[in-house]
Amino acid sequence: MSINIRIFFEKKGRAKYISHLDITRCFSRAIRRTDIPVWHTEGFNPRIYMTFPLPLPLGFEGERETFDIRLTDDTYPPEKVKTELNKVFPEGIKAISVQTIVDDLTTIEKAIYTITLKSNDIKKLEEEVKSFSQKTDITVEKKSKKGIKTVNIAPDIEVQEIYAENNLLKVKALMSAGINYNINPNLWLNAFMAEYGYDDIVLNVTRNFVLRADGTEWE
Amino acid sequence: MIPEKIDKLLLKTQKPARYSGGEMGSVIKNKEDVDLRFAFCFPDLYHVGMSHLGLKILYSVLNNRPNYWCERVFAPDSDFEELMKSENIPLYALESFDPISEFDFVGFTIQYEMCYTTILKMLELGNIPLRSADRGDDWDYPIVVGGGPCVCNPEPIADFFDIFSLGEGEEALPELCELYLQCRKEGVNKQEFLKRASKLDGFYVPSLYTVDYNEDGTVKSINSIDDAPATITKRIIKDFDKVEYPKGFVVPFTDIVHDRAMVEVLRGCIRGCRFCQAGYIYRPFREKKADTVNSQAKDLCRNTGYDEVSLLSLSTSDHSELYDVMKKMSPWTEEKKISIALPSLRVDNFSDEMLEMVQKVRKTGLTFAPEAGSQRLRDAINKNVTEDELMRTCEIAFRGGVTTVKLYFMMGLPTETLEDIEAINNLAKKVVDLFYSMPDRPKGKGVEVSVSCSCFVPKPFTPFEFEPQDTYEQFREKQIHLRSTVKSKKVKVHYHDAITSIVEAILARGDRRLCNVVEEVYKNGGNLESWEEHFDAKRWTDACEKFNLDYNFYTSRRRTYDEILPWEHINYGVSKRFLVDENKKAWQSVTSENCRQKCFGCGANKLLGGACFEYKH
Repeated sequence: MSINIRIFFEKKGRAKYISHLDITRCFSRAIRRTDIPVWHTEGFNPRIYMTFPLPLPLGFEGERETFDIRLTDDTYPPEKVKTELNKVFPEGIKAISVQTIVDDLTTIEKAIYTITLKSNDIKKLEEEVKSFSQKTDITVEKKSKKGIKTVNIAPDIEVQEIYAENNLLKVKALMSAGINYNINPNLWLNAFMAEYGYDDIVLNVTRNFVLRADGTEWE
Repeated sequence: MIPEKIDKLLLKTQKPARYSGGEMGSVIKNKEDVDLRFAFCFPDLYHVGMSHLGLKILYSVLNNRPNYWCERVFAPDSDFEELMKSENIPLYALESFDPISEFDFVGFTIQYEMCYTTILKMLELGNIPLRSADRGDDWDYPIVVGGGPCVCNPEPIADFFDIFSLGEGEEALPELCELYLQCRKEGVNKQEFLKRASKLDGFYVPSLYTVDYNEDGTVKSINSIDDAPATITKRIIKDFDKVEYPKGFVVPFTDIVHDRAMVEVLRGCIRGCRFCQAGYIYRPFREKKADTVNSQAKDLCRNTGYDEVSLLSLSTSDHSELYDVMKKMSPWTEEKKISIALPSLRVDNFSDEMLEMVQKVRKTGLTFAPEAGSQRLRDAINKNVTEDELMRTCEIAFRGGVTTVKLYFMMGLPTETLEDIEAINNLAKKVVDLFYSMPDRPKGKGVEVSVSCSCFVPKPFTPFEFEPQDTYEQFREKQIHLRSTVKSKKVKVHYHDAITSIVEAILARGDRRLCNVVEEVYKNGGNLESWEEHFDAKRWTDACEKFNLDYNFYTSRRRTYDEILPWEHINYGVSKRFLVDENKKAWQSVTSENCRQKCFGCGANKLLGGACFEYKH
């Protein structure tokens, strides 16, 4: 019997330079280097069936990313999928847990990001982020499948924490995410930098979690 | 770990995974634990260099020795080069991120002439003086060594290299490395090392040779100094079946040109097509046993995770056990959904079974290279393929469901006339007609025949090394003529501006005086010139003018058989007498049988120390 399983993984360090498209290729090759019994799609170009519910933009780190595969043998232990993958994954990619599927792909509604900013004047930057996060209108141009639209993203972003750490500023924010409506943190960051005339302050963006509509963790 | 200085630049560049390393299969060692560090440089962009099998082979050969560490270096794209310069980051190797100037060896594989200026770019980005003479007698800089097909005439880049490695590197390169370690241990200087290297088989130290010229610009004599050998003979692997072959490759994250497992199934070529340099400089013909190919393919697929494996060579269908290979590979490739690619098939030994095996997992289009449109011209260039064979092959392919056929041709071949150009269209047209004449042709889709026509560049060590290249105007006329003869919408014609081929021709048969020209072009911005957007022919013509060199002297001049050619001191096994014979036969449109049928005594068998094949008398 075949069974779909969900793999949670982290993407850190130099793996952040691997684009989403390259990640899918990299993962199929990694899987081929194991004996994990995966199901292939049918047709002219059989490939390993893999689904990524929420691609991570190039340059971002992810602490709890996810993808689904289908095993052709439902007795193959999930724990073994994890250990086998970790033998073949490149530096920066690590499988954290493997489980059966709980939530549907479409039920992702939000994600939490931690943004690391640098500045010579952290205090000033902190004040600026604070006042920017109070804004009720942040109008940006957003690319969608239907073309470029002008939207107000302020209601889709909730800055939860702002704190200095090792002379860097950390901003933790909840943003709309998912197949239906997704906010790329860069939209917010670019609007912020444009407002205050910054150029090169973003050191890192990490996606920490993806969440359901009720704010609980998506599984 | 990526150094912070580099890390912070990566997100500002296109496709950063080209510069960040960490790919599956890349070899990381501790630099304190190794005796010798080798920077293997490919003078082009990452996605081209990473496709190159020679790099994969030598990377593995060197890294299999625990005390050597071989790393990869590619040319940065223009945007990243700007960033590197702005932050003072020297060219680095992808495994350690150390600057290439810290290595013992900086080795370039030189695959085509249009990368010559990129070599200089990489040296400069690595803070290494361009000219060997400016790098001193001591060990201040890495030893700069070059290999690959272009070094069969390395004269136009001779001033930039300390050593050229002629022929196959699997056995030779470790020997050179051992000599280097020995010399460092003894405490002798670099000059002494180079002298000793010149006495190793297959290594050419250009600074130990001087060249005199006649008044007409031709070479008068090539003289060795410091008792370096008068001729340098290329190296070959005698027992090709046993040669070291990688069990894994570095598997890139980003898309590269040839992104698949590759097993080299044979080396050399039995065919002797007179235009083809590879067909002569890689002689003699040697092949791997079916079991060897099968187990190497299996290892590679398992260790890389590739879903495609290519059986690589100059002419894979000439492998004597190809059927056997395919039969052995069939069970496991089907089970693992791995497709087999046969990149260089010939139309004279292509069968239904072969097509079926190739297309079992994935259906692909087919590519054939008749090279010339008319039988007369195909005979002159010794491309022993007939129209009937091509038609028969296309019929098999069409019956098997193929609807796109690519045909490769050349123009500017010796003895060619406009009638031969018209024949290209006639041949393409016949393939289209064949498709529609077949009642059992694939339904639903029309046929597409794509005709690619490149401009011929005469190369050293071929029977056409004496021949003039067509002028730009002649090429233009032929291209326009070809375009005007093609009326069918099913036939698509592709060709490039001939000017690149003309610059290639200057360098392919050039002499040492061109080193100045190469450097001048580089200083005027020449870099990554294999890319159309970076190529500027005017830089080359201007540079030739500056140094009082007429480029027509190199391109469109006929050489007499007794002229001393700039590569006269280099021996690739094939004798000049044989090349002269073949040249004469070309002008009579007389073909030569392939090496399996008959030996014409080219001389390459001497490298083996015996006959290439067992001939039945």
